[in-house]
Amino acid sequence: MTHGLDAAGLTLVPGQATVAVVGMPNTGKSTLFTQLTSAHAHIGNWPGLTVDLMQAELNLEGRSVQLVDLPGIYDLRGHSEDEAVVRRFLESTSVDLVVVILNASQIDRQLRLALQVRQLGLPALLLLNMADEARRFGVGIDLDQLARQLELPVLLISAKYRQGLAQARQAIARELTAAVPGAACPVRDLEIRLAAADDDLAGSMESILRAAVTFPAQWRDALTRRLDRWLLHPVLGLPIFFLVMALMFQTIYALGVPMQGALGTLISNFSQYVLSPLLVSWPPFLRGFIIDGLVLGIGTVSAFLPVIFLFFLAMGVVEDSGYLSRAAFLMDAFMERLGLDGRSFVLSLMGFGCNVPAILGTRVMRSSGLRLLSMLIIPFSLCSARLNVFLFMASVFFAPRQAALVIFGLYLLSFGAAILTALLFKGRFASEEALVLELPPYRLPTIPQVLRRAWAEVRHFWFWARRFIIFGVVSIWLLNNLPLGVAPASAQSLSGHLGELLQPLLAPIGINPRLTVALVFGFIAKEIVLGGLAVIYGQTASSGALGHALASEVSWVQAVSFMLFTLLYTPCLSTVAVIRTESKRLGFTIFSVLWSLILAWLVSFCFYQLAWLVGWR
Amino acid sequence: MVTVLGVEAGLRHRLEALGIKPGQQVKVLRRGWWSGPIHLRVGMTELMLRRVDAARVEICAVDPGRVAP
Repeated sequence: MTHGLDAAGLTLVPGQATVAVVGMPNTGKSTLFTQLTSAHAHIGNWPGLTVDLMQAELNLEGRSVQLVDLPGIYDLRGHSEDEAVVRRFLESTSVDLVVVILNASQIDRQLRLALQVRQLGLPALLLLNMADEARRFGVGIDLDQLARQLELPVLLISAKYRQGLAQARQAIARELTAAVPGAACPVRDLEIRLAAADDDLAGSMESILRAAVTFPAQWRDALTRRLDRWLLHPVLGLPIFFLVMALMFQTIYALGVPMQGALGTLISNFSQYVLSPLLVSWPPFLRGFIIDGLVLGIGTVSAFLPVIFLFFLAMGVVEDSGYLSRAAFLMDAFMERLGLDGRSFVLSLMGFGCNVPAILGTRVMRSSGLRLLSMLIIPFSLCSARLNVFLFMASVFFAPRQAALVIFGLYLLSFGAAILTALLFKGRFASEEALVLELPPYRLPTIPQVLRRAWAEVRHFWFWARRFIIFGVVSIWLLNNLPLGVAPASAQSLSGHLGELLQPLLAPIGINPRLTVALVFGFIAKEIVLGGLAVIYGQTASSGALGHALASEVSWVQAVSFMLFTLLYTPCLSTVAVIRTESKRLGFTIFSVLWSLILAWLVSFCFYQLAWLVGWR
Repeated sequence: MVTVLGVEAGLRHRLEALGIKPGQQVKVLRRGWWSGPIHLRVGMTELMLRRVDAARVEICAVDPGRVAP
């Protein structure tokens, strides 16, 4: 169960023990949470990405426990939004046990958080995660000594490799059993207590570390050192990064497009040979609605799920390996000149999967100018839903080699639009925010971890998409077939009227009335565009029939203009909604939508009119 | 070695939590292109820090013979 951010709004069952997981970013906290609860938590190798509070019910030796995953924080006294959320949570909730999770190899600085929790007098348990990394880097920890010094139970685990998890569960159960029933209460005077003890913190941390931890005489991570020499190279670093990205996208399409074709054929065969004979006795209006409306629309979009799965798989590997933080390092100088920072770049990259989580990710930024500017540029990232449309249109109107160039060009334009937007508006959304980011050592992502993650993302995409697609496809079908008795999608139908109504605005950019209907519904979600086109033209996308129908009516210049507009205008209603809730400003949200519409129209207009002048038809 | 953190409270908390505090030794690993950020090593942690922010952290050189790695 995922609940909102407001700590007070969590649903806590009376009588059930509450266990909160606290830890710094990049300690594998979310991985641990997922392993303990087998919930599909999103694992971010990006400081503070898990901002929604995840909570799950856990059965520990016959006792039912609420496990709450608090946002990753550096410091209980820190000034970030996440740190305030954790403070608010601890002040408003009776926590029976705090599980503090630290990166064992970085215990030299992370121990601070455990000491702060202890200062608050909260019952706690310390888990030292990434035991494998501590071993790799030569950090030796005397667990008994550390437990004695801290007066807390301490366990060494590796959440990623599932080591020590059973012992961790037992320890949590043991601590809960040992606790005095009803003793748990919210922390009072949290800030005062922390401030009072702050002066002793450094001293006690040093003495505990000296007694219980041995550090390597020499830094041992030769692998990270060697990789960074090339990957962060002042001249070669960026070209290598773009090469890696290009290879990644190339692989995704090389594998994904044939899979998509096969799945599409399967679905259209099902509709043609199984569903149609079954519904033959149904009234024609209803039969048309199901076969040409629902099945056609949903089938067209679901054929793209393999590409999306592969995309998130590849992103997961890049993210979990630690390379994404390096991308922030490499791009920061450039982004700084756009009034943004390395994090905005990484979030825009994530936006290539889906804009919604990328916009949620801007919560790691404290300066409101920086956040708003990032929210303004993220919607220009060519997300997987738009990619569906482009892959299809490019394959219809261009030879394979040209089609690849067209897609590549759209990616370039996506960056170009973001850069232009940032340059134009950086003055209005100025920021002075400092940038300090951790560069974690390179890690080998585990296969189950990235698979589970990609699966969760596809499910999430499908969940959103399904609701919008059903709504969108059904509406389009109705618009095309009402009033009763008109020829589907003709000029007399509702959609024909709608298309004609917008012609003065859209004819100059080469959008005909039928494409207009697809664009209007694309405002709700880009997932609808292709399914909508299939319904408008009454043909399946996979059999090639939709392609033929489209190509017979629309020129390639019009098709490119349509793609340019689709790339640049508002990605979907969910993105608008999330910009509204995250920026908390209606004016900014309207501005963001209007700017993307204006830019889309201008770019399409310039392209279409120029192409016309040059004589391309 | 870090001597003074001349930054506002919010950033000071963040830097200290990441290990940058007076008395702590830091090692500069590299500087980014086009006056990009600085790649630092502090204890067991590696960080990136923008040059404008790094300029507000005062440091003094440590005798290489005494440097704990």
